[in-house]
This record gives sequence, structure tokens and C-alpha cells, in this order.
Amino acid sequence: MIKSLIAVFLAAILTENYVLAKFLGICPFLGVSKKLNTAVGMSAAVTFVMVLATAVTYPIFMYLLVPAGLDYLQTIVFILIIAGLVQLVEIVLKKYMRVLYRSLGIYLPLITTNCAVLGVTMLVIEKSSETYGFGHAIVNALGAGIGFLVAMVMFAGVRSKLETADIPKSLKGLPITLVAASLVSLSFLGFAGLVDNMLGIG
Amino acid sequence: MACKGYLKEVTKGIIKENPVLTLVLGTCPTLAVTTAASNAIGMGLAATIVLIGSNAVISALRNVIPGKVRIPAYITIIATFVTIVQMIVKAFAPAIDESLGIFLPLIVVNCIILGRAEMFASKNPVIPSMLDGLGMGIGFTAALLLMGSIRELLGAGTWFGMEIIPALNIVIFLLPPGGFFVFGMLIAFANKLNGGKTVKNAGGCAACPMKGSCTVLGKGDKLDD
Amino acid sequence: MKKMSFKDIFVPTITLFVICLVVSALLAGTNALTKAPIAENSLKKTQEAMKSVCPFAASFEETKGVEGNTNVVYKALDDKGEVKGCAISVTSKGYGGDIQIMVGISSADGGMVTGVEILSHGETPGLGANATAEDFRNQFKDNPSLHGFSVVKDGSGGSEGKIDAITGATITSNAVTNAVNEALHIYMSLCEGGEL
Repeated sequence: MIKSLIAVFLAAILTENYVLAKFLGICPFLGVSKKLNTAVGMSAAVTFVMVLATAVTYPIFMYLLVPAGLDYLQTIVFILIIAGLVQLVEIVLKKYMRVLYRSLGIYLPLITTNCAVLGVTMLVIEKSSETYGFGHAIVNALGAGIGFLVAMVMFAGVRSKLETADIPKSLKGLPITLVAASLVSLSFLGFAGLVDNMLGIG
Repeated sequence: MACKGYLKEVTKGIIKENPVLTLVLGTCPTLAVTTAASNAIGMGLAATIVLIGSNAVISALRNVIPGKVRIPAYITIIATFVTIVQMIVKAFAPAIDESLGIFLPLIVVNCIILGRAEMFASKNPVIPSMLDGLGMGIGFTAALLLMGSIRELLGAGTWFGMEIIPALNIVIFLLPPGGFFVFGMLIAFANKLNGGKTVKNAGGCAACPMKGSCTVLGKGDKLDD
Repeated sequence: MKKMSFKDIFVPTITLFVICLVVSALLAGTNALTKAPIAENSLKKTQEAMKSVCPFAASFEETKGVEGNTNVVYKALDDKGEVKGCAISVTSKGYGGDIQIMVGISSADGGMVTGVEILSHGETPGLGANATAEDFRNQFKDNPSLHGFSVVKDGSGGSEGKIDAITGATITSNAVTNAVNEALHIYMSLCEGGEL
């Protein structure tokens, strides 16, 4: 059990990285990765909302929508829950945790339309089976968030090197950023099979 | 005038304000589903239908929806159209549903759709809004098709599953790194065609909740809202 | 903060409520229309897969699988209603998520694989997705395997339980092969239990 949880966690960070392998959350990945501190702040907020959203949507889907035969409402219910949660978190942080609010607050409104959050809540439902329950779902969400952080931080480092590089005119700005992203994602391909072999699963 | 004006609403989305290549919206599906040209068409069509539908409804209700709750209202309307399209695709084109996977429901959070709702449909009458949706949809589809064709041709030597150049088999183009690379090259090419100007900002970004901290556009390009 | 008036709270709430009501009605309607075709599609897919992996069978009958991993077992019956083998659907973990496959097994030679179909997968196009190609799947067909199938990379696959790996997709090849072995295992344990 512990072993499979670790496998799910590591796979979500490395082999199934949401940004670099699944192409989810590309907008913030390209948009907010220019500076290291904003990259970390954004990722922390995303991780927090991912885990929270999964913790709420998973039981709602499994114990409310499925028994009622309303699973076709998944998309609409999930996106509204995420939008509501983000608002709620913002209000709570503002009122009770000023320090955290000051560091994460500005990223929160951006998260509603971050497809990685909606993506993770839906993918864990797709994966769920007898051997893949609520615990796995939460661990997967946490891993996805940390994977997002790893990708963002690595990429912020790469971009800071690009700042001083002499780049052809047409490639300046977004194109060279995408080429850099291509190389970062290439490096993540190297993790293929690593997790399962490391833990001796499959 | 009317006829010409309508035509303009459609054509602007295809080239001048192409949502993918000049506004850089909807990057996730652009990168993820373009491993084959046929996927690109499926994704583009689904998004176009959602765009036209949500633009029409939001524009019709633009005087009814109170400003304070407009974003949740838009999200609800968009999610409805996405779910309807999803169910229809599942029922009548299961192969497309399989190849698009999670990216079909994720049309909900595609910035193009919320962006057009906020920027255009909430301020314009129904007919122009629908045409705007159609134009943006065609632009999105065209960009996806271009990406999909390049990646499929280089990566598998095929186009829409037909063998074109059997010797070509550069698999990296089908993998995530190839997606980023082809997209980067296409934007560089679009920049070149636009006379070296970087990404033009024709309004799509104003609706994006990321505009505050987004650095894609670089300094000086930011919109003042 | 200015105190919100009754109208400020009431109007948005009612508008959102009405929108949600209309939306739910619309979705319920679409669901009613598409439910039958969707269910039919998935049933049709399973049946087509069963027919293709068990060409000898005339009809199928779902039966109890074994405990453990997700598996569904269908008895393959001939036109006289006698059990001639089975079709087993099993899931294993590939490179891009779960791979669901259907394995046909004939009881004629004490358990020979008669076909393999990939029901669903999330493998990389151009690499792992090549597992759906006939070249790969047909290696399992009529390939005697006393101790289960094993993946090889020297091009000697197709006999003696050897399976040639797909170029650049060792993980996928292993996943499919393991799944077929698991299906064989399930078949054996069902035979021992006298259920087949």
C-alpha cells in the first residue's frame, strides 16, 4: 500500500509530469516562470488548490453524482467547485492568515482557469478502481502539484540564462521560451520507467 | 456595410487575431492533441461549436446577467456547451472521444472561450458574436491543423493516417518536446510574417485572469485595463 | 465596506439560479438522448473485441473472474453451447497510464492464445501506440508458451513464447506481455477451479 502510494507520488512528479508530459497548465508555465519567486509562489498556490479540490470533488463524484446517475454533470460540477473553492480560500486566507495571503493571494484568482487543476481532479476519477482509492487520489494531486513546482523552478532557472543570450530577432520572446521548454521536457523523458523499476513494481 | 462587417468578424479570427499564433491562447490543447492531423480537426470542431454556442447565449443574456456574477455565469454556460458536445461526441464519434481524452472536457478552461465571452460576446449583439465565435473557431482549428500536419508528417510520415513519406519517422516530433519545438517555430514564423513585431495584443489577454503577472507579452505590451 | 442592499444580493442569486436550472434541464435532456448510443458503443466495442480474439466462438457469456486485479471473464461458447475457451479483459500499467486489453484463449490445446486486442491505452503515438498494430499483437497468436510469454529484442519473436519488443517502447511491450500472461494465469486458475 505504502509502496504503491510512493509510486503514484513519484510518477506524478517525474514520469507523468502534468506540465511537461501531459501538457496541462501550460499558460502559467510560460507566463509566470520568468522569476524564481513568482514561480514558487504560483506553484505553491496551485498545489494547495489541487489537493483541496481533489479532496472535495472525489467524494462528491463517487458518493453523490455516481449513485444518482448524474456523472454526466462532472465537468460543470467540478469547474464550479474549483471556482468556488478558490474564492473561499482567498476569503479565509485574507481574514485569518494574512502572511500566507500576502505571498499566495495574487496567484489564487489565476487558478480557476488553470487546466492542470481541473485536469488532476478528472484524471484521478478516471484512474480510480479497487486498488486506486481516495488516498491515491490525494497523493496523486499532491504529486501533480509538486511536479508543477519542479517544472516551474527548473524552467525559471533555464529562462534566467536566456535573458543574456543573443537570440535571433524572430525567435525573441515566446518562441525561444518554447524551444527551451522543449529541451526541459526532453530531459524529463529520461525518467521513463524509472519509478516502476526503482520500486520493483510491474 | 452590414455584409462586409459580418465578413470581417469571421476573417479577423483566422489571420489577424489568430487565437493560437498571435494571441497565444489555448496553448494546452494546441500542444497536447496535435500528434495527428485528424485529432486537430476533432478538437478544433468541438471548440468551434462551443465557441459559437457560448458566444450566442452570453451575448443574448448580456443585459440580464449582473456584472458581479458574470464570470460564474459564463463558466456555467460554457461548461454546459462543453458537456453537451462531449456527450454527442461520445455517442456518435467514440473514436474522436478516445483520441482527445481529457482535453475534450478541458475545453471549459480554454482561455479562448472565456476570453471571447468577456471581450466580445458580452458587448456585442448575437449575430456578430456568433460570427466572432465562428472566426475564432476556424482560426483555432487552422492553427491546430497546421501543427498536427507538421508533427504527423515529420513524426510518422503520414497525413490523416495516409502514408505520404514512409521514410520519415522522427518520433521525437510526436513526443512532448517536439510539440513545444514545433509550436515555438510556428510562432517565430508568425512573428516574422508580422514584420518582426512580437505577439500582438488584440484584446484576448484583457480577459485572461493571468494578465497581472503574465510575462509572455513582455514589458510594454501590457494592456491597461 | 458598504452594506449590500437586498437587491444587490437577490438579483445575482436569482439570475445564477435560473441559469443553473435551465442548464440542468438542457443537460438532462441531452443525456437522455445520448445515453443509449453511448452504452451501445461500449457494448459493441467489447463484443467486437471478443469476436476478434475468439474467432472460434459463436456466443459469449460473462462469468465470474478471479479476485485481485480488475478482470472480466467471458466464456466463449460454440453453436452447441459448449465452452471452447474464453475471452478475458485485463488491465496493466503502461507508459502513459493503464492499458486495457482483451485476450482470447482457446481450450483446444490446453490454453492457446487466439488473439489479443487493445481496448484502451494512453501510450505515445508513434512509439507505444504501435502496440495496437497487428504485427505486434499477432505474435501472441498460436504461440505456444509453457511458462508465459517473454519480451525479446533480437527479432526471434513469434514462437516459443517469445515476443519481439516494439521499437522504442519496451515498457509498453512489457505491459502488454504481462497482461497476456496474467490472462493466461487467470484462465489456468479458473480451469483448476472447474469453472471453465
